[in-house]
Amino acid sequence: MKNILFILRTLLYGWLLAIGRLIMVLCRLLARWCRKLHMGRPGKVARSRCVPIDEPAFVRPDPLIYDQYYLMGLGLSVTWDNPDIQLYLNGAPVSSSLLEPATTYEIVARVWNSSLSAPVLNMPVHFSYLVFGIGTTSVPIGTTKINLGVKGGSNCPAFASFPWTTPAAPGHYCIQALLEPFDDLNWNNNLGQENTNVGKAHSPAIFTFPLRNNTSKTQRYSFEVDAYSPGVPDPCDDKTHPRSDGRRVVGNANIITNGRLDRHRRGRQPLLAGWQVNVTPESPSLAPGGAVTTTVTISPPSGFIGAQQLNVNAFHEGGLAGGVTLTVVAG
Amino acid sequence: MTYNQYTTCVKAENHSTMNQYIQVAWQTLLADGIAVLMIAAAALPWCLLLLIPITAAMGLIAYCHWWLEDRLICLGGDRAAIGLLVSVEPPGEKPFPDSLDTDYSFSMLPPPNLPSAGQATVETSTPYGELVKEQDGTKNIGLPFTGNPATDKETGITSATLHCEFEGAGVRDALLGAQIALGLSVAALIVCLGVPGPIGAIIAAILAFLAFLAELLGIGVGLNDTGSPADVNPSLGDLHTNDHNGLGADLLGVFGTWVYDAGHNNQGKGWNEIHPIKMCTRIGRWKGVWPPDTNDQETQWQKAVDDATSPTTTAQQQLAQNQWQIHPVIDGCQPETPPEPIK
Repeated sequence: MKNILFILRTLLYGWLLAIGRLIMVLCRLLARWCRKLHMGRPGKVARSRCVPIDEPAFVRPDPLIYDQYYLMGLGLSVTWDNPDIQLYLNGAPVSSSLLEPATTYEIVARVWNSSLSAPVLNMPVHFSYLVFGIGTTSVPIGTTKINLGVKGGSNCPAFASFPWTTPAAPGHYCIQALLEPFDDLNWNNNLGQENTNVGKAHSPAIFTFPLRNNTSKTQRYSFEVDAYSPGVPDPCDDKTHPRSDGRRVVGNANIITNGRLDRHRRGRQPLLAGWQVNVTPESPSLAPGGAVTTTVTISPPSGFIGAQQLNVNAFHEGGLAGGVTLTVVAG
Repeated sequence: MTYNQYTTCVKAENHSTMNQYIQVAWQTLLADGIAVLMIAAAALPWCLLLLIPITAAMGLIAYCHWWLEDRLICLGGDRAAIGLLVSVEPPGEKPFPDSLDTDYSFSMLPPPNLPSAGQATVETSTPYGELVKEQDGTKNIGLPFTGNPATDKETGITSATLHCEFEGAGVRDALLGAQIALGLSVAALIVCLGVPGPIGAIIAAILAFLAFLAELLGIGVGLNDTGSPADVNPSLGDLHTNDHNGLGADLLGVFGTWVYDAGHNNQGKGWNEIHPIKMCTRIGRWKGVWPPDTNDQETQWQKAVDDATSPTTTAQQQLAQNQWQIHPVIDGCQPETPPEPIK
C-alpha cells in the first residue's frame, strides 16, 4: 500500500519535486567544482597528510645484510658465521670465537642494496653484542652512519665499521649489526648476527651456552643441527646449475638462479655421516625471561682430522629463536 | 632508472609567448576556415555541421600539443635537490578539466630554509636557491615570474618552494583521441562533399559520431591514466606532509629536468620546477630543524644520483653477478675477479 501511494505521489507531483532536488544537487556540485577551480593550486592539494604514490620514478631502497631470521623464513639454511660481519684487530681479520677480553676490535659490517635505482643516505647501522648463546640480551656497542649506493654502483656494497672494546670478563660474544634505513622495501633483512665458537674435539667436543626465552610467553624449544655452509658462489660464466645428485645441467637464467638457491635450502646439507650430536636439554620449556644452560656434545667420526662447522638452530612455535655455529677442530 | 615522460621542454627562444587559448583559437579557426572554403566551393551548406567535430578535435589537439611540446622551457638539464615536503597534489584531487593533467606533483622547501621562508630568502639560499630563482632566459622573453608559494595544510604556513612533478599520461591520451577524431572528422567532411545524396550524409554522420566517440574515449582514458595505489608496484609508497605541530613531513631527494612552467602565464604566474621527476626517494623526516649534516647530505645525494644514473652503473647492473635477489652469497655468482673478501 505504501509503495502504491509513493508511486501515485511520484506521478502527480513527485517528479517535479525530484527535478527541483536534482537541480539543487547539481548546483551544489557545480558550486563545489567552481570553488575548487578558482582556488587554483590550494584546490588541488591532497586533503590527507599521507598520500599514496605509485610512480615509477618514486623509488625505494632495499638495504640488506645476511639476516639469518629472514633467510630461515625463506626456507633456507643459515650459518651464524655471518659472511657480512667481520672483526679486525690492528687491521687483521680475527674470528669472533677467539676474542681477548678488554681488547679493542674493529667490527665491520658489509651492507648490500637490492634496489637498482634507490640509493640510501645516512643510514644508521647499530652494533651490539650479546653473551654467546641463544636469545640472550643485547648490549649496544654504538651506531655509525653510512651511504649505500644502488646495486651495481660504486658504493655497493658499503661497509660500516665501529670500534668495540670487549668486556673485561673473558667469554664468547655474539655480534649484531642492525640496519635502520629511513625507508625500505623489505624491513625483514636488516639484522645480521655473528655467533660462533670453536672447540677442540677431545672425543667428544663439548660446548655450553645459555638459551634464554626473550619472548613474552612461555616457549618450548627444539633444536636442529646441520652442517650447512654457504660456500663459494658458482662462477658467473657457468651456464649450468647443480642438481641434487651432483651433476650439472644446462639451464636459463631463472633455472640457474633456482639451482643456486637449491643447495641453500633447509635440510640440503644435513649432519655428515658418522657425526653424532647430542643437545641437552633436548626440548626445554622456558617462561618469559627464563634461561637454561644448553650443552652440545659433538662426537666426530673416528679418525676425523681438520675443522668442521656445525650449526645449532633453536626453534619455538614462533619460528627460529636463534642459533650458533660451532667449529669442531681435531688433529 | 624508470620514469614517465610525455613532455618536451623547449629553449626559451623557441617558446611561443602567445596565450595558449589564443593559440588554440587561431589554429582552430584556421582549420575551420579551410573547411568552410571547401564547403562553400562545393555549395553543400549542410556539411557545415561537420565544423563541430572538426573544431572540437582541432581545439583539443592544439591545446594538448601546446601542453606537451611548448609549455615547459628548458633551464639547464637535469638537476638533483633535496627538500622538505610542504604539499602534495595527486591527480585525483584536481577538478575537471584540470584533472586531465594527471601529473602527480608536490612542492618542497629546499634547505637551509625554514617553513615560512619567502621567495627572496629561498632564491638566495645555497645550494638550491638558483633552482627557484628567475632565470635570464625566461626573463628576457618577458615571461612572468612569481615563484611557487605552497601552503602546509596542517599549519597554514606558506613557504616559497621548488615545485616537482611526476608526469602522468592524461594529456597525451587526450591528444591521441583528438588526433583520431580529427582524422575521422576530415574523412566525414570528404564523404559529405564527395558522396552525393543521403548515403553520403549517413556515412558522414556515422564518421562524425565515431569522431565524437574517439574524442570522448581519449579524454576518458586520459582522466583515468594515473597510477593506482592498488597496482602491484614494489615501489608503491606514501608521501607525508607535516602534522599540526609542523613536524613529521618527509625529506625528499629528487632528480629530474629543471624547467620553467609557462602553463600559468595566462594568470600572470610562472615558476621553475623539476619536471619530469626522474628519481625521487624519501631520505628522512622533518623534526623542526634541518639536520646538522644537511650539507653533507646535499653532496651525498648528488654523488648518489651521479652514481645511480651513470652508464657504468647501468652496465654493471646487467652483469651476472648483480642478478641476485636475496643475497649475493645465496643466489649470486662469483665474477672472474672476485670481490675482496671480508672474512
